[in-house]
Amino acid sequence: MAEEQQNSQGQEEFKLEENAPINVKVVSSTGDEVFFKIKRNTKLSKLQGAYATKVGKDVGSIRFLYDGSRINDDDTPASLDMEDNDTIDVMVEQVGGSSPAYLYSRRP
Amino acid sequence: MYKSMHQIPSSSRLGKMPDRDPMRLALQSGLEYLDRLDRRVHKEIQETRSCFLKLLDNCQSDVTMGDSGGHDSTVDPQAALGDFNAILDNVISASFAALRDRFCVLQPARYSTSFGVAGWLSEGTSTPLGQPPQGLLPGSTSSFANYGPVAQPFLPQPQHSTYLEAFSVIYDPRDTQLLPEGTYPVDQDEVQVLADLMEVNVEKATLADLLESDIDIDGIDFDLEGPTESVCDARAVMQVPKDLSIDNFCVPSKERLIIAPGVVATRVRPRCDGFPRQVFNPKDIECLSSPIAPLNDVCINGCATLLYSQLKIPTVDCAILSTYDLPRIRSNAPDEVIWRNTSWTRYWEKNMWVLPIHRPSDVGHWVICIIYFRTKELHLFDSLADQNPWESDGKDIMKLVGRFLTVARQRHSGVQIDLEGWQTRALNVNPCQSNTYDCGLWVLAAMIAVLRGRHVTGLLEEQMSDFRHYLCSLVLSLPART
Repeated sequence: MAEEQQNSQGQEEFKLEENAPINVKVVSSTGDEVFFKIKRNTKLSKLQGAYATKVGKDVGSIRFLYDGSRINDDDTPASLDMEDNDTIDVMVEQVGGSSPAYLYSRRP
Repeated sequence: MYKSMHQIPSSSRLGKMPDRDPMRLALQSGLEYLDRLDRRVHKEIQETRSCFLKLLDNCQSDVTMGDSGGHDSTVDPQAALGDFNAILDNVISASFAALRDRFCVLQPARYSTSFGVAGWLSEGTSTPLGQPPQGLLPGSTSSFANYGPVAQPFLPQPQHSTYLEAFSVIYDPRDTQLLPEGTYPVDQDEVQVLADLMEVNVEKATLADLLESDIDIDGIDFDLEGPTESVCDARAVMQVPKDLSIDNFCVPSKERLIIAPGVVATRVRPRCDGFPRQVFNPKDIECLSSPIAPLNDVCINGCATLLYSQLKIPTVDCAILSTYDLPRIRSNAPDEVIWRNTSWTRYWEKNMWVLPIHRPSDVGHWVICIIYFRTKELHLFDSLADQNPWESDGKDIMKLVGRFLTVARQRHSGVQIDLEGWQTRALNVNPCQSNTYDCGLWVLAAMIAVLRGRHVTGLLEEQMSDFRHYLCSLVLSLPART
């Protein structure tokens, strides 16, 4: 009985540790860093929203990359196997068509 | 000689060189007439082609109905054949009759047959006649006739270099719709397209074979001064040097890749072929499903991974870099940032890097650079053929090469760095894009050529709509996020 109690207590501690907050550094391409503390089971979309607000941009116009892979809205640090002090890289959305004025200038 | 002719409009040339020889004047007028006729016949052939396509559709529906035991009474095969003959008679005989009349006036006895036309035209190759602004030099040798559409993708209609060509081989991008059944494995999987589709388009295959016969991709000894001059069509040669091979990738037509309408959910491509997981949100997919939306970074990077898995041939050893890589170099990102985001490509082991580039400015623009380590060449492709920005881009690209290799050498011994003696080469002289939204597609088309072991894309602007649809279908074939 006492052994069982000990076991369940151990599991709880493990669960707590599993969802323990980790520190994540978000780095822009220009090297600006913003630090976040986030629970391992919290969706990273929360972090993304907070970062976008901080830098004053639309969250849809920012790409969050973890080890070169784009972070999905419902990813969590746990689902991506993130560790304490890991880094998320941020890039700005790129859109390309071409300028009508330029095209016009090229017309023969 | 032909290069300079290309640059001088016919009118000014004629003005400077008045020709009093009546024979020459007659020939000249004959050639101009042929050009006009060529355009007219081409238009008629296009119309005829669409009639044939309709007839073919009817035939096909007939066959389909037949399988289920019915017969489409609205399509009478005999009547269809009658239409066919009528169209043929109408178009071809009328054009030839006009041609014959014209030549009979010019040269009563000798040039009254189609053979005579060919012979007559071949004389034109050695005669410095003026050429109409839109037409190709009529005397071009027929073996280079297929350069027409490749050489001038900016023109709305494909051009033919000889009159005879207009009757013997007509290139039309819509040919892809006439491919034999089963060429695309649409029956097994509507969005799976095999890599070796090249054989289906006879004209394009001929062109590529023609070029490839002169090519040694591995041991290139490029003419770095510029494209080779030749006695064949000057414009074509100016655009596509002989040592560059043109890709003949066939884009499946929209009809063959059916996309079910409905709400689009996020698509996720798991880690595959060395690429990290790719995520396409509805907003990104919308860029591809809209006929006129500019592509974003997710479309370029994501589709690049899909095309790599779909089309890369085994002999091609390349790293597909990301559209974020050059911005990182430009903003002097630290080594660890570069390494973290690029090491998965194992770029230091590859002899070729494919680098899609975003040019910010007011309205962004996509271009692409292929970095060949064996030949120390940067191949530059811009669908608008704007050469000016490459000067600064080229410096950044070489900086990227240096930084990437330095970063790799810190972690892997034996990485060689040689930044001396590199050359740049523009893959196109004339723009191939006339709209404000397809540059991203052109970048992906250029990438396909490289993945298939070629240098230059052979796609035309009128195929971009099908290409967009093909890419969209590739993305939608991915599993939706669960």
